[in-house]
Amino acid sequence: MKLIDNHPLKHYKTLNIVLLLASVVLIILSFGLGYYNMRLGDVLKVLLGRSTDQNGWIILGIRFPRIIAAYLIGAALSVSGAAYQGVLKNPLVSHDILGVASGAGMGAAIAIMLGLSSLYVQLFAFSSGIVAVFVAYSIAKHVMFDKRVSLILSGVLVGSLSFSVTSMLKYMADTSDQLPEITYWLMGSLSKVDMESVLFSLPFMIVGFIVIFIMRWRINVLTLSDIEASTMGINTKQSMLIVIIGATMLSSAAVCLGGLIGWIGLMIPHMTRALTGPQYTKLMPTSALMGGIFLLLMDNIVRSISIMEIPIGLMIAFIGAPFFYVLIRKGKRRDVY
Amino acid sequence: MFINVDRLKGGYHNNTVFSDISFNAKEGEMIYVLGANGCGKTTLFNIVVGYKDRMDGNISINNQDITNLSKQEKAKLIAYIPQHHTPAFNYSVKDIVVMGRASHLSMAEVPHKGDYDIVMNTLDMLGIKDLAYNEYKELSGGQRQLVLIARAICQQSKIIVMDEPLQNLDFVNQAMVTQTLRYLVKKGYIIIMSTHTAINSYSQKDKVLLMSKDGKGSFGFIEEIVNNDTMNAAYGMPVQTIFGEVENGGKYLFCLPK
Repeated sequence: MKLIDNHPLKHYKTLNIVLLLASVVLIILSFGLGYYNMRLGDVLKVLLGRSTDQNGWIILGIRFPRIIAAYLIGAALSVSGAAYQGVLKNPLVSHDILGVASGAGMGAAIAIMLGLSSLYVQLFAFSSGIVAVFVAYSIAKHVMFDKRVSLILSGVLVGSLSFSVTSMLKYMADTSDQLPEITYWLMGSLSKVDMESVLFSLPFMIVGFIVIFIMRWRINVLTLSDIEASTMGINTKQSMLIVIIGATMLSSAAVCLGGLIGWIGLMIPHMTRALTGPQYTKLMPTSALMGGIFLLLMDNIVRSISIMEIPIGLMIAFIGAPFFYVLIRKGKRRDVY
Repeated sequence: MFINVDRLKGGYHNNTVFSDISFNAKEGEMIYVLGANGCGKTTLFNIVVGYKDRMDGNISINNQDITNLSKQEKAKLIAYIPQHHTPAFNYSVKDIVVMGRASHLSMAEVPHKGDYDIVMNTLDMLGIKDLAYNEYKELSGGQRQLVLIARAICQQSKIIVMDEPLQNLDFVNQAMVTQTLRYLVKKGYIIIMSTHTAINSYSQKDKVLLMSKDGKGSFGFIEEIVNNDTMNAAYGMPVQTIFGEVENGGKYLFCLPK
């Protein structure tokens, strides 16, 4: 079977232009959605700077950070998941394989237990996400198996250890305020996102995106066996480390902003491969667009369907799991793996 | 271009697998590496291509010791084609072959039009241009070998090391790969390949490195090195060697356990 890149640039460019336009339209429409519904005309007025009333405050003060956060988190988790899948040569892993999510969850729980402000919760979550991956990477060197298997095992180990610490903290937490806050954080939600928290994560995301963008072709070579990549002139250890650093920056910055949002890092790269093929220079930009659109769409749904907001992490699990099943069903397409 | 391997010793950790292997090859030569399982063919290849460190001895290309070369410099001299090759993702043939350009690109670079031109010309030269957009995993074993050979050619190294390229191939695919290798030898490439039981359509110029279980190797022209006695010694059991000629004049060697 011929792959899509039989007609290389034509299809691929059209696809990305469509996704880009869809993103812009979706972002504009998202401003109107929520408990307080607004007409498109009013939204555009505010966005063009022609209105300073209550609408303006809702749009710029409350909805703008949340919409940007949703899009960025979706893009970051997708790109990070795709990058991990590449360097670990394993289509089954996602952004949290090296323990970044459980590490961040533990950091957030510690900060909440200490009664710190939300910015500190974010800072703790971000740094313990990074530390978790650092620990996993460091102990992997001493694990007896093949480099990649060792990394995955160490990630699982660190992840489960930090998950236990989090459970312990939940057990000890004050059931009237700390426990609900920890639980809510772990379910993943964008309802507490404000401009300050977006601005905290943004620089790390930008660095992560740049690192992965730089490595976007080389990741292909890293999906080959070590001896092949090495005899092709690649320093595999160094290249792998750079990709892992970039992917971890992205996932940690995303998780500390929106809590534990699963599935995206696994699902979106797979969906994207079905459209672009597995080649990373094409996969990465399209994954970012698809992930952004997907998470923003999901967030719009949880914002609109009820006043009692469903945490977005749960929503994605509800919708994502059946949707992913449909995607990977037998007899659909088998030309990506 | 010539490669010289002198009194090489190699193994894993403290286990010496072979202790005294020497051979050399110059432009347009084909070297077969013959030996029983466990005699260290794979270890030898890993060391020769610069993937693993040697324990002792010397490897030089054009009189230059390759130990101190960077991976990128080594890649421009010597290419490696693995035996089993199943990438984690189903790339197109073109995407697989263009990876051979990695040593010519800096870390942040993606392949340019010039690189893709080299890819298409190489595929054309090997007669598989119409496979360029096919999925690699859908190809036959022989076609996959040709694709990996194309990738090695795009690497622009004149020495190609192949681990049992004819293993598990049927006659059609074996012939396809063998013809391609002969063509490359004629063009001046140095091909070093391992084989288990047979050498198809060899030429009088081809040489063999027979590795025996005691960690030593004998190197020379095929008909000088390979006979029942040397094979017995190398494999540690009685082996019958059969030399012959096929109707089109190609010579072959076949080995069977007695």
